[in-house]
Amino acid sequence: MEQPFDVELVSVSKRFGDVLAVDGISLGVRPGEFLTILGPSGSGKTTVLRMVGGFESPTSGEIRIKGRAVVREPPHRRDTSMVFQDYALFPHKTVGENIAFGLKMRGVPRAEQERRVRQVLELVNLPDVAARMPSQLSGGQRQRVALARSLVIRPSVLLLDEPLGALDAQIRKLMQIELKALQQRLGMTFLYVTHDQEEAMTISDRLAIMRDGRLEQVGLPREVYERPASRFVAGFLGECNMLAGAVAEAGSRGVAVRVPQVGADYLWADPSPDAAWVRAGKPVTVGVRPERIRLARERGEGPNVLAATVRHAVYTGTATRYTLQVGRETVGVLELGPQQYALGEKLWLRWDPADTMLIPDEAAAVPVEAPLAGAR
Amino acid sequence: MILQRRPAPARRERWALWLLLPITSWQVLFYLTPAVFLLMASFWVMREYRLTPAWTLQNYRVFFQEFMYLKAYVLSLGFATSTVLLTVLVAYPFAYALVFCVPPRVRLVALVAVIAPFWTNYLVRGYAWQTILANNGVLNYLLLRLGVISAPLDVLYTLTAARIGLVHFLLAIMTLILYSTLEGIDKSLLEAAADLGANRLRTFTEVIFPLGSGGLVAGSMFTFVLAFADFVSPAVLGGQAQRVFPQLVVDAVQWTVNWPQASAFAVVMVVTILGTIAIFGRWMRFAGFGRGIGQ
Repeated sequence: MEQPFDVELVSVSKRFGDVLAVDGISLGVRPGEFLTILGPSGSGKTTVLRMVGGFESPTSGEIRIKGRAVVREPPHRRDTSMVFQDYALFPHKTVGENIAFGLKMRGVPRAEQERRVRQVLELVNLPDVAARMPSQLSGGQRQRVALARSLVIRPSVLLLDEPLGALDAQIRKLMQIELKALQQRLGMTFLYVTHDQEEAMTISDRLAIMRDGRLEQVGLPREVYERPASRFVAGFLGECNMLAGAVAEAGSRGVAVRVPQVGADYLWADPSPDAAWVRAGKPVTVGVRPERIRLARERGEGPNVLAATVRHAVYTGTATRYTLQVGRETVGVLELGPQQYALGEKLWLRWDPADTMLIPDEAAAVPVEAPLAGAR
Repeated sequence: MILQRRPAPARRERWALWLLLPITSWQVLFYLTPAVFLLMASFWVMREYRLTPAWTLQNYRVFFQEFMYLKAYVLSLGFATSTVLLTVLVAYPFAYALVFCVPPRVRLVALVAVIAPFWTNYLVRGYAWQTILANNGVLNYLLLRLGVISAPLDVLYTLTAARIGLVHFLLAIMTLILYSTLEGIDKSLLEAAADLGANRLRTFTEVIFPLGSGGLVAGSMFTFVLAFADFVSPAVLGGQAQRVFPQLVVDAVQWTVNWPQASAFAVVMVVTILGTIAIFGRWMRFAGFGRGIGQ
């Protein structure tokens, strides 16, 4: 029978003493999917991964791998494999022996072991190191060996716990691309944990954002970036200008929000049919990404035009980052190219109502599956 | 991960030499000098009850030619080896359980329990074992009452009794060395092994034992040296029926007052111990000690 999920967590909680590390999480990972659990440190993301791998057992809740309940199964009886943050390579074994370890435990004949070790080393672009000791490899190479060691046993689900965390920025970027390509080529299910939002956006099919042991939002990278379910998600994934206001009108023309402190009657957003909570009188946060706002010396026509004064500008090479005074608020704007406007200059800023994000003041409960069904 | 080699200091600090001075001078004065004297004395002779300088191999000839001495020497080697093996058999499972099976609070209590006997004088402990192992001692009393045996066991004043006392003494050293080595093993390696399909036994044979072998070799070396040179347990618990080599050395000093002879025997023991350390040392390097694992 075809299972809809390779990994399924149902109301999983984990308590360490007085601390509720994971608080009733429900999440499904689809076959062949690259799902990343993203969150700040202490959000419980690694605990979730370790519970799937069998290194922690949940205080309550159910975990299924390929439809099979595994909560009582030790790690070696689960069809998963974990790539550890610090690689956890056996220091007394050669690279080849490290990779062959899982095969040896499964009683695979020697010749077959050697063949598959060679094969998987090719796969991770690391031939000719089988005879070396892990201590003789660079960080990036060790990372690949750890990956190969898990891949060689062909688990249904690969669990990755901040696997690139210890690498420097350049190799890290390279490995992200390779990891994604590898996952697509193998069609394998990856459950990945990171605190790096850029990395998560780059490699994932879907993101699950965690905070304080709870899921804040689950969705496609673009969905989560453009329609954050909470102020936390909006602020955690990239920069975001957030203006508190109240819904004045919600209709087919769009949503008008009163934000008195920015000196305009209303800020406009496109109509949002899936956000049932957007009703007149409701408090709401208007979110706009800095790169979606345009600056001009002339006042243009249309909605969402605000008067602003340049307070601060930093040229970062590819773009210039402006900080502007808008009414009683401070707004950040990112524009490509070198600095165009002087400090103290009076400007107009504007953005498209489609780029207005309406963020509820409190995160709405995230259903496991509902928002995902239509997303793919 | 086991032993990180520290980077050499960039500049040798002159004042640091002063820190080395006290211990170094102590060792030269009270260890090296007597050792050299011992070596010299082993070639001397006793004339009219006086230690007289000479240059003879007679004292060594006695060791190789008189069966009694050679026999005691071989007995000592066997005694030390079996004692070390016994100590390992008791200490290893204990250290393993401490590191991998019990909660931290139990660990502390158990460690203290192992170290506590160290606070009692070794000789006093020997006498304590006498009261336990004697024919009318605690052990025989219990076994007789329980009906396990019908006549008291003749344990006291045998090498078995000496071995028991010595194992008890060496247990603390072996356990501490094994404990610190096993404790140093990165726990994520055990998780990785389990993740890749190893059960507890395979995790032990494939990961824990090889990574802990450095401690096993080091512990065996220390305990072997102590067991080989020990006089207290064989004298207090082993009695006179089967005498180990250190007992004969003491005899040469106390009964025959033959200092050169005793010196020659002592040199034989020192050479044996140095040889053992050399062998264990090679083995230790082989087991990964000081190879800078984890760099």
